[in-house]
Amino acid sequence: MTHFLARRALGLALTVWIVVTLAFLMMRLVPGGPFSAERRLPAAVAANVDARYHLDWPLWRQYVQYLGPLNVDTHGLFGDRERVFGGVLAGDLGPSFRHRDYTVNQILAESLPVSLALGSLALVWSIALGTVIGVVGAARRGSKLDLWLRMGSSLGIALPSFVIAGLLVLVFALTLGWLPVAGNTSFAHFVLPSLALGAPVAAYIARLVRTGLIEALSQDYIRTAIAKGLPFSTVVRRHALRGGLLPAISYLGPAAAGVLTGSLVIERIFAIPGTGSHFVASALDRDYTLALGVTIVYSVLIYSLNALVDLAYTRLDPRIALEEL
Amino acid sequence: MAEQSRWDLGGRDVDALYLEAQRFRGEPLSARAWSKLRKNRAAWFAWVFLCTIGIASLLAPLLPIPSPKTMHPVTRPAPPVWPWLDKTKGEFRVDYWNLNAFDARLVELRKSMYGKFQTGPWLGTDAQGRDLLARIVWGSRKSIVTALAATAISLGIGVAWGAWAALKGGRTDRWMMRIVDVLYSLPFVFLVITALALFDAPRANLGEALVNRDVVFFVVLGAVFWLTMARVIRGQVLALKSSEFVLASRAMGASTGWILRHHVLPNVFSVAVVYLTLTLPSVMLAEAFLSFLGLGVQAPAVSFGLLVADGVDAINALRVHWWLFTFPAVAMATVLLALFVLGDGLRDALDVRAKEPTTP
Repeated sequence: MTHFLARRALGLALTVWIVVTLAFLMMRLVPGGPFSAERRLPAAVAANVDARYHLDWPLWRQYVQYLGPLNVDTHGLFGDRERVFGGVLAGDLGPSFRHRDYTVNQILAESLPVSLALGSLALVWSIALGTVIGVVGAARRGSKLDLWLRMGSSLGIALPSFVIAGLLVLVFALTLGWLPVAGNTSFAHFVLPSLALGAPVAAYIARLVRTGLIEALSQDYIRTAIAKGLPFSTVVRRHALRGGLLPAISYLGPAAAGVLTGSLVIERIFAIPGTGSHFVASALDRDYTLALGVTIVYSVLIYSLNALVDLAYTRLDPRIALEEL
Repeated sequence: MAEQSRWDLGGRDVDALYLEAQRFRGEPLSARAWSKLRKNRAAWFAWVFLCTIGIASLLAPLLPIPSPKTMHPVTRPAPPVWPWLDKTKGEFRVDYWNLNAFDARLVELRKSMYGKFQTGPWLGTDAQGRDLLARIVWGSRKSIVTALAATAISLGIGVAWGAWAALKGGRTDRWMMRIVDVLYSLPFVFLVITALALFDAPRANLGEALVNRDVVFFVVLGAVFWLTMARVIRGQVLALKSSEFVLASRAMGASTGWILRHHVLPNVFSVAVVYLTLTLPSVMLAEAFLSFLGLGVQAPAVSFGLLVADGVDAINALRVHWWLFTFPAVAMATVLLALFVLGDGLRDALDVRAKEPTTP
C-alpha cells in the first residue's frame, strides 16, 4: 500500500513536471506575448508591463520563478519589487494576464466548483444508466431489446457530445420548453449539460458492463449458483455483477478524464462559467498563466482519480495485488 | 512431453510428409478476413457506404451542387426546398478557394457536363446564403482528408516506435515503452489546444510561409493518437519474433530481411489496418471537437465540426433554424457510426485484440 502510494506520488510529480515544462516551453518559444495582440503600446509602457510580469527575464529564470517557491527575483529574497509568481510548487499559479486584478487561483476557485458539480453529475448518471443498460442487455442477450440498446450505445459512442447537446436543446428546451436553454442558476440548468456530457461515457460503460457480465455469466461458479436453484436475478445480482463490473470500473479513470475534456465544449454551448470555458478563452487569448494553471490542475485531478480507481479495483478483485499496478 | 511429440513423425518418410504438405495451399489472411467481413452485414454495409461517401467527396467539384463559398445577400437562412419542389434555375458560377490542378480539372469537366445547371437549396442555406448541401459535401472532404492525414502520421510514428522497441528489446524497449506510459497520463487535449492556439494567434509574426497551419493541425492530431498504435505494434512484433513459423523459417536459413518481408510485415499489416480504422473515427471526432472550439479548421474552409458549430449557434438563437444543425449533425454521425462499425467488423474479421499478447 505504502509502496503503491509512493509510486503514484512519484508518477504524479513526474507528470506535472512534464506538463509544466512542455506547456511553459510551448508558450514562451512562440513569438507574440499576451500583450502584443492589442494596439501597440508605447515602448516605455510595454517595457514596464514586461517587467511587471517578468517577461523581460531570460527563459530559464522565468521557468524557475514559475515552477518553484525559490525566489530568483533580481532584488534578492526580500526584494522591494512585488512578486507576481509564488510558483507552482507553492500552490500559486500566478496572476492572470487577461483578467486584470484576478489571480489564476481566484479564477479557479470561482469556476472549478461549477465544473466539478457538472462533471460529477454527469458521471453519476452515466454510471447509473450505463450499468442498468449493460445489465439488461447481458441478461436479455440476443433479444430485440438488447439489439436496440446496443444500437443506442453505438450511437452514443459515435456522436460527439456537442451534437447530443444540440439535439437535447432542440428537443427539450426549444420544442418542448421543459428545461432552460443555457445558464447555471438552478439545478434545472444543469440537467441538459450533464446529460450531453455523460452520454458518451454512459454508452461506453453500457458496452463494457454488457461484455463483462456476459463473460462472467459463462463462468463455472455461475453454473453452480444456478444449479443450486437460485433465481436468475439473484445470480446476476449476487454473483455475476461483482466480476462483470470490473472492466467498467477500470474505465472510470478515463471516463473522468473524458468528462473533464468534454466540458470544454459543453460549457461553451450552455454558457456555463466553468473552468472549461475559461480554459478555451485563455488559450485563444494567450493568457499563459491561466491556460497553464488549468492544465496543471486538470492533470493532477485526472492522475489522482486514476490512482483512486486502481485502488478501488484491488478492493473488488482480490486476484490483483496493488504491487502489480 | 508435448515438445517431443511435435517432432515424432510416426515413422513416416520426411519427403513424403513434405509432398503432402505441399498440397495445401495457404489461404492469405487478407482473403479470409475479406470473406468474413462480407458476411458481417453491418460492417459490409458500412464499408460500401464509406466508399460511396469517399468517392463522392473526392469528386465533389464534379457534382452538380452550388459552390460552397458563394454568398448571397440574405437576411436569414433559407429553409430546405425539397428536390421535387425545386423550381430554381441553375446559375452556377465558378467560385472556389484556391483549387489544386486536379480539382480545377474537375470543375472544368463539370462545366462541360452540366453547363450552368446546379441544384437548388435542397438542404437550405446558411445565414450568408451559402448552400448547405454543398457545404456538407465539401466539409466531409476536409474532415476526411484531415482524418486520413493525421491517422497516417500517427500510423507512421506508432509503427516505427513500436517495431523499433520490440526489435531492439531489452533496455531500449523498456525505456521507449515507459515514455509511452508517461505520455498516456498527460492531459493531451489541453496541450493540443494550447499548441494550436499558439500556432494560430501570432500568425502575423510567424509569417504564412514559415508554418502551414493545416500541417501543424495534422501533426498535432497525429502526435496524440500514435500511443495505442505503438503499444499494439510492439506487442505484435514481439509475439511474431518468437512465433514458431518465424523460428522455423529462421531454422531453414531464411535471412532477416526475408523474414521481415514475408512473415513480420504482412502480420503487422493486418493489425495496423484494424487500428487505422479504429483511430480514424477518434481523429475525426477530435477534429470536430477542435474545429467546434474554433481551433481546428479555420473559417473560410468548412468541416463537419465547423458546420455543427454553426448549427449549434443557430439553434440557440430566438428563431430556430433547425436544418443548419440537423443535416450536418446527421451527416457527421452517419460517417462516424459507419467508421466505428467498420472498425469493429475488421477487428472481428482479422481477430485482433487490444490486449498485448503474452510473450514467453
